[in-house]
Amino acid sequence: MSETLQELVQAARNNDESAWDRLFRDYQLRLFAYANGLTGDRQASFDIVQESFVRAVSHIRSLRDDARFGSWLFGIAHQRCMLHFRRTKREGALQEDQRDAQALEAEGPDPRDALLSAERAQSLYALVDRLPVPQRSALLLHVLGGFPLEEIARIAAVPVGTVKSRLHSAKRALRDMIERGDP
Amino acid sequence: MRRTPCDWLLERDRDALPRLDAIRQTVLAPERATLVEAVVEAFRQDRAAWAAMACVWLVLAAAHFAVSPDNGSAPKWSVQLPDLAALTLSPDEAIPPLDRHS
Repeated sequence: MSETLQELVQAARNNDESAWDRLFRDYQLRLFAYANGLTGDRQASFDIVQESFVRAVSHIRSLRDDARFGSWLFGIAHQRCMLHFRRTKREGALQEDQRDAQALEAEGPDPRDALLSAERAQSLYALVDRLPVPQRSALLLHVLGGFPLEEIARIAAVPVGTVKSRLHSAKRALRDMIERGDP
Repeated sequence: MRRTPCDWLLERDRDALPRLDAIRQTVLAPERATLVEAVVEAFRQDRAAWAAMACVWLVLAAAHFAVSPDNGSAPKWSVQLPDLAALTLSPDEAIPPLDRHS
């Protein structure tokens, strides 16, 4: 799989349009789900995906490791999301949650297990949407992209410990909401 | 088959696929996308410069048509020009050839 990805990226570097098409087709829905989950703005999410594709094509030379194309592409989309937040004056939502550090104490099931336990999709969306933006970002990157902590840290430009803290906080918040019967 | 958390999260946005396909095709159609975007972007970013340049060209074009011999009528300010015939020297006033020995 990774060899195929690397071959595709190598072909894309050589301006192979079919390779780009295949790569974008593989990532487009996950990128959109990430942007939509983070911003909650469907129209802006389409714009973010388009801008991410354009920047990926024009900046492919900045990708050092072909095997990390996915996290690199999500990183571009993440930056566009942050730009969207700045444009819409929602920087306050991006402030680091000071309680993140406390969540490190509580070890529990993986957040993906909590998500799996949700019986209704709509309830799951509502739960995720209620998480603070930094936690939501880490959780979505973990679930949608399947990225390890190091990759998420690189995408979000934060230390690995911060990512771990955010994931724990997201997990605990989801568990609390589910136990309370929210939403 | 058990659905993964990723499947659950993608379910909500699956109806966006047709538009995402269109976006992908637009981005990967360089002839159409880049030309239109380049023109729009060039005019959008430097509108003042483009407007100034257009004004300069209008002035130059107006001046050109005003002095053009094909215009039929001579420009009004041409009467103020000196008569070139009066500037030509008569045979008596011809300048003698240079004496290279003197």
